Amino acid sequence: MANISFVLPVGGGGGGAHSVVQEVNAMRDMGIEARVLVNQRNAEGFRSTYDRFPWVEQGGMGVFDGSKDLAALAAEADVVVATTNTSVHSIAEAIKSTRGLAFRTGYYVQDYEPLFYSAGSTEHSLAIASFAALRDCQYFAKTRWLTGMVQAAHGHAAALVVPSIDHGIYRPSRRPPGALRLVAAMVRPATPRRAPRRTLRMLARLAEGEFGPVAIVAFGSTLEELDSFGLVLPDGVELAGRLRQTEVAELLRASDAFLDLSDYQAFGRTAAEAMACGSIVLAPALGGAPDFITDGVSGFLADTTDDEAVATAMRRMLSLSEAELRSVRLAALEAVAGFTPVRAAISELRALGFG
Amino acid sequence: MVNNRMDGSAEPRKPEALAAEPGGELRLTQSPPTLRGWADPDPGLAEERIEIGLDIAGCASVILTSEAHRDAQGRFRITWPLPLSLRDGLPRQARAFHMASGLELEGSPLTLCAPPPADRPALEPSKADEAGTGLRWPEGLAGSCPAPLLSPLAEGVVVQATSPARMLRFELLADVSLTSDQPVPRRGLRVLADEVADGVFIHMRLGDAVPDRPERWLITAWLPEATEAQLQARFDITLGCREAEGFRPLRRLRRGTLFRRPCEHPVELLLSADEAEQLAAGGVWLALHVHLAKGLSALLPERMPATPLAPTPSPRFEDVRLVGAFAHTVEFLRVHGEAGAEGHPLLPGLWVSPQASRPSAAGTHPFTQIILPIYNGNEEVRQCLHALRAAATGPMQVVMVDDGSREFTAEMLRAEAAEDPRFILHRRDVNRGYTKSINEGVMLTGAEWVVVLNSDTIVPHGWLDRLHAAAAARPGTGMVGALSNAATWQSLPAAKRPDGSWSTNDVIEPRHLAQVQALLDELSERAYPEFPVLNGFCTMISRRVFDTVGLYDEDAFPMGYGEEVDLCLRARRAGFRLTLADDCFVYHHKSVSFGSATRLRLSRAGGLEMTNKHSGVIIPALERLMQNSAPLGRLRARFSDLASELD
Repeated sequence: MANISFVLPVGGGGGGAHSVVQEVNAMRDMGIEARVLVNQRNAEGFRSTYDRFPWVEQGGMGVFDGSKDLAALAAEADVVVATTNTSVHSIAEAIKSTRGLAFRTGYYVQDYEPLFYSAGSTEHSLAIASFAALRDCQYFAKTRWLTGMVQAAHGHAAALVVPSIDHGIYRPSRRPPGALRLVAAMVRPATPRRAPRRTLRMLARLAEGEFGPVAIVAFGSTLEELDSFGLVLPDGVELAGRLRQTEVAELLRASDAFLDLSDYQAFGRTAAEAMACGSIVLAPALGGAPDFITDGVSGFLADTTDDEAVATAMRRMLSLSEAELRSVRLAALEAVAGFTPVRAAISELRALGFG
Repeated sequence: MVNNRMDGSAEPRKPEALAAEPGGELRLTQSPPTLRGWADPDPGLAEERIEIGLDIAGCASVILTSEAHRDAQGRFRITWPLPLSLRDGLPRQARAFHMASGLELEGSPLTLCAPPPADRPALEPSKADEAGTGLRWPEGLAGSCPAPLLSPLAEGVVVQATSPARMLRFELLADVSLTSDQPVPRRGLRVLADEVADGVFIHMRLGDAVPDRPERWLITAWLPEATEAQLQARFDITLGCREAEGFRPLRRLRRGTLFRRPCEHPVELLLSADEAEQLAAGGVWLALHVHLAKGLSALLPERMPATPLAPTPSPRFEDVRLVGAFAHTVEFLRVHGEAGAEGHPLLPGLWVSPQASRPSAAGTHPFTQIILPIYNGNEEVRQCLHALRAAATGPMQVVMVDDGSREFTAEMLRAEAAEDPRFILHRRDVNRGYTKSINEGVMLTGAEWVVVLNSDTIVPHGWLDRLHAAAAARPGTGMVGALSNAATWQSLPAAKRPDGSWSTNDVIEPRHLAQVQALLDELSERAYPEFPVLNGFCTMISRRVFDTVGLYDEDAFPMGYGEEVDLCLRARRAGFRLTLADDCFVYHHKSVSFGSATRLRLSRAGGLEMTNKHSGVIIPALERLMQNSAPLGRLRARFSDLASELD
């Protein structure tokens, strides 16, 4: 039985971590000895976030404190998979600290992380070095943009795997007929690449009626947070605050449209989840969203760095007739219907050479 | 008095038999400890002053300059007060010799030993100290000091290393920048221990730190020598208090990671009233502390604006960091893909296209200067020079950089230079290493195009025409390489031997050059393929490459073994194409300059520097690109039966 360990040094709760946990769960259901290795600092948070998975308490989660610990846990695995640039370095240190370890390594590239930091910073250097720290590492990622970046920027072949979303939570529901169209948008002031200012700017134009009558809900932050970043919520926009996963799903199910105006999206998880809820999305053309959004067919893409391009896309999106809306909604549901943990797990197993 | 660089590359010339030998003598006198003596001028040279080299065991070499006036016997007097770094009570052997002739002075080797001065400046605050940190360097701009002691090197700069390091070599750094658009050169310090130490410290005073308001300082630091691939070391920045015996740490400001490449470590400093009081007398000091490292390099702290400036809005991205991060990514895409490409489907609109090449003059190739680094050698060098002369078809000049060859070679080069005005000789008496040689050569030239050529090559007639044709064929070309019998991936007919080692294709001999070139003229597709790196045996380089990315890296690759790959990668990152003239064959003797053990050591050191300097660039991926070059594959197939075609 194959033994695969994913090093996930996070407390959980984020979309990326959630999908890894789901995929590990699917692998275990398939009889694979898949585990999540979490660093000591995040272990408690991880345990409480994912206590609904029985395997978390039954040997499916390993806790490490330092490279020696990690090496001891990794020694039991056939493949150890990094999921962030820091976990790549943890694995590299574990390999260095112990001779004769026989496991293979993989890197599940969730985002091109050098873009998270200023060029010249320590963090940027570490993120760049993560593509050279492991020898004979198998790289895999869930969008063609990510696999392309790993290949083009670092010369490593990277396998394309299927993304997964939690269809148990993100599912469509019947909308009340005749209601005002509802537009949802995520505003995260602490993450500049998610473009909170641009999003609020476009929501203000939306609220002024430039694109027709709509109801608008922003989520992902509180008024106090917006205020602390010098951001003002435009009149006519409702702020739902920070939402739990199920609350996000509920909002997306009620929404007709979802806007992700980030600078780029390596994948575009929330857009995919919105599509699974039957919402029509506008996502950045730069990055991985074009993998599952065909512009004008299953959603809309725009050069989000150009306000007028965004406005044009919004106008197209919000001027759809009911019939067109239904057609795009169906295409959107179909586009992400295959993003299941089982398919994701199978594609990862194949990328890692199992099956 | 000038110290040599700390890489220890300054090797005195071996004594040669001279007609009249200049004499000299040096003795150590105490109170105060001073090296005193005299030296005769070299009879062959009309010198106003003479220079004496001093090799001190465990320290860098020192050059002593005599006083200008001669004494009654016509001798030059030499006086050198021992620097504080040598006044630690430890005996050291030193060898003194004439810089010009290499002859040792009487009394050499001598023992340098002096007790620490009773009035050794204690680490106490002084008013003079208040002036700019790192402005005056009384111990010299480079030199060495005992590792365990706190050694003040400059105003507001004190260094120390813990065991097992015994000695520290230091050097002032200037003009180090993370990005080429930093306008002001910044000063810094490089400290290198003789062994990996538990801790290496640089204490720096923060000029006029203000106690009661938050200040932001930028520390740029890196590791001075690669000891392993993907080198990293733990790094702390601590606020310290200066006391008579040394420094007392108050609190840690930042913990981070150091790399071989410079990284920025911003720290925010808000002094409590208590701290302000403690620091009032001695000033505010930062201790940069790297754990388990062989050394530490850092720029002097730079004050940043008290409140972070609102980032300059990017016309494109809301996250302004993406501008630099994407630009950095573009560099990687250039290195692993096509350097001169106008864009990339993954990054639409994020590409700044490199400038196109300037059109070359019609009729003949543009004026080209050939840099020929030479260190010893006889027949092969002579053959190379004669071939260069015979091969010329247009305006060219050969700059022979003699890196301290023995007299026999030097004489031969003088004769060659005297024979042809297109050949000029630049000689220095001390061998300083290959990379410094070619850099000196580049600085001596001014042509739009230079060729860096090994002196064990033989060029064919019209070779420069072919190289320039390749440059013109691919707009945006910054460097051009040639084919050869022994030039790694540029070798013909085979790149590698069956055992995987690089082939030298011994079937081709120097006498076959014209024949092989004629075959190539017939068989080459003139596809001018783009290569990710070029072998350094013969590379034509545009001046714009040096203007844009700088010279060869003497610091990381002093003896060669990686300097050309490094320049290639930097040029590609900047968007210059590297083009292979697949219709030009330059014979390469592939003579060996070092023994196999030294070669292995240098090659390993170069490899380590490369993986650290270009972390994220995967050399095997680049090798695959060269191995898979279709035009070369076809050419190799056509040349497979070369042995039967050669006389």
